[in-house]
Amino acid sequence: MNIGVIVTIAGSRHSETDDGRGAPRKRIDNNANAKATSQLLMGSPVGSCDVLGQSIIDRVVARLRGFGAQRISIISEGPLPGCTASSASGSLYRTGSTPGFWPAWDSVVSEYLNQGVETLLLVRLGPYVELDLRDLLRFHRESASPLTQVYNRHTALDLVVVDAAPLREGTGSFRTRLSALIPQRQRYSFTGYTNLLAEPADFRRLVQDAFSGQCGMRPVGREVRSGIWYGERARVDRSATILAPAFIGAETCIEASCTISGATAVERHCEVDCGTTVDDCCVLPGTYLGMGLNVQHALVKGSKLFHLNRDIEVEISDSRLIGTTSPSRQLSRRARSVLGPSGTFGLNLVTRSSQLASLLTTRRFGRGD
Amino acid sequence: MVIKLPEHVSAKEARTFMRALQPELRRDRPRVVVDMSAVKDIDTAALDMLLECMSKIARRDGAVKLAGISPEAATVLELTRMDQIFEMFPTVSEAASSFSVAPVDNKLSDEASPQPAVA
Repeated sequence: MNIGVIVTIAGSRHSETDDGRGAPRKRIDNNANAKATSQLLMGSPVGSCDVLGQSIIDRVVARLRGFGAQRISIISEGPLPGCTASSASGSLYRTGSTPGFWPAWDSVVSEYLNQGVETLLLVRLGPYVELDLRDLLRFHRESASPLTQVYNRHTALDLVVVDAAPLREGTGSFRTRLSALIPQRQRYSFTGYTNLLAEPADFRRLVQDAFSGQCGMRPVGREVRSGIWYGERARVDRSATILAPAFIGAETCIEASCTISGATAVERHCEVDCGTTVDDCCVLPGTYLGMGLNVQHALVKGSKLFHLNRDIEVEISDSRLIGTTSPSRQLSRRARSVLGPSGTFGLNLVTRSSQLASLLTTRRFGRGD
Repeated sequence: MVIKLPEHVSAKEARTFMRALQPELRRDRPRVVVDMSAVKDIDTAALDMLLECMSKIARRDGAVKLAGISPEAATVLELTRMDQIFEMFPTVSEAASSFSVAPVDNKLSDEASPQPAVA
């Protein structure tokens, strides 16, 4: 398949004059215009957010590779967190901040054309679409149109297939040449799974759909009980209650007497402290939830909590309630996992000196007898 | 007594709140309404202060009620389970009127309630 894919991670509105340095929006706003263009989830591009152990962009790239697409470039409209940089291994990776979104986009198209790519697939995340790429390309070939755009029942999706030939022949920037092809576009009606990811509730719905099998996403981890998945090195205290469906991400720690319920996903590197109840929530990577809390119907990322019922984002400045998992917290958690469930130094770690101390203690008691 | 909390409530504001409350705490059956309509951010020190206030007032057979709680404050109260501890009202006037109605009604109902008939 001689196809080049450009995946754009939506981060902020980009316009004709955009240099890619636009300030990110606070969250996916209720504002209708923002829904179509912003797609930031609590300050991060929604495409970079983890869903059941893997970011949306990673999942999309894996899906495209599954269809045989080898040339995949990822361009971000705004700054990206480090977690996504590693996801693009083997792909050309550029961010939109330098030298600017459209110059970066033009340069990727130019490279593809120089490499002899015949067809371009342009994907904007944005919406999460479980596309059958083979069927789309077959439709595109049969329609004999230079440009095919994917639509679901309600709206145009940010998915376009375009022939390379007219882009090679035109004049001006590749973006201008692409725009010139739009009047000739064909509509490809897609009826499979789509989530517009336009607001936080959509993100939550995506996780619920993944749990219930309504979309193709599967949790990344081992299923320890029916409907309960643990990522690598996840640590759940014996006294904690995990009710299915639930996902506990890699290196996440659920402390004593916690309850996780209501299709909750606690992503990687999180800590839920003793006695806290988490119900109907998505806890995004690196989040600390303090002791004895009652977290429900929410998305939580670091110190930000989006309450789904109230449709409000709250930033909590008190890190004893919620915050990020600090390196020292992660270190002490790691130490406890090395030392055993009780985490008490000297009780579980058997060294030569501790054995000697134990013998001495026994002898001292022995003398007393 | 009605006390309005500011937008950001932390240890400093909590101390100011407690100072303002002192005269009320010397009275018998203190009645305090905390107006939380402006609160955008409240930390654990301030929540601790609310609990202390409730405890002191309860010792004098009084009550503290929260009113006009902003969505942000409601989220934090729910998060910390304090929504299950405090009586909450949509407005200050409703909270205030609940003081005047409830005790009188209880007293009346105690006195006026028919005694069970002895067979």
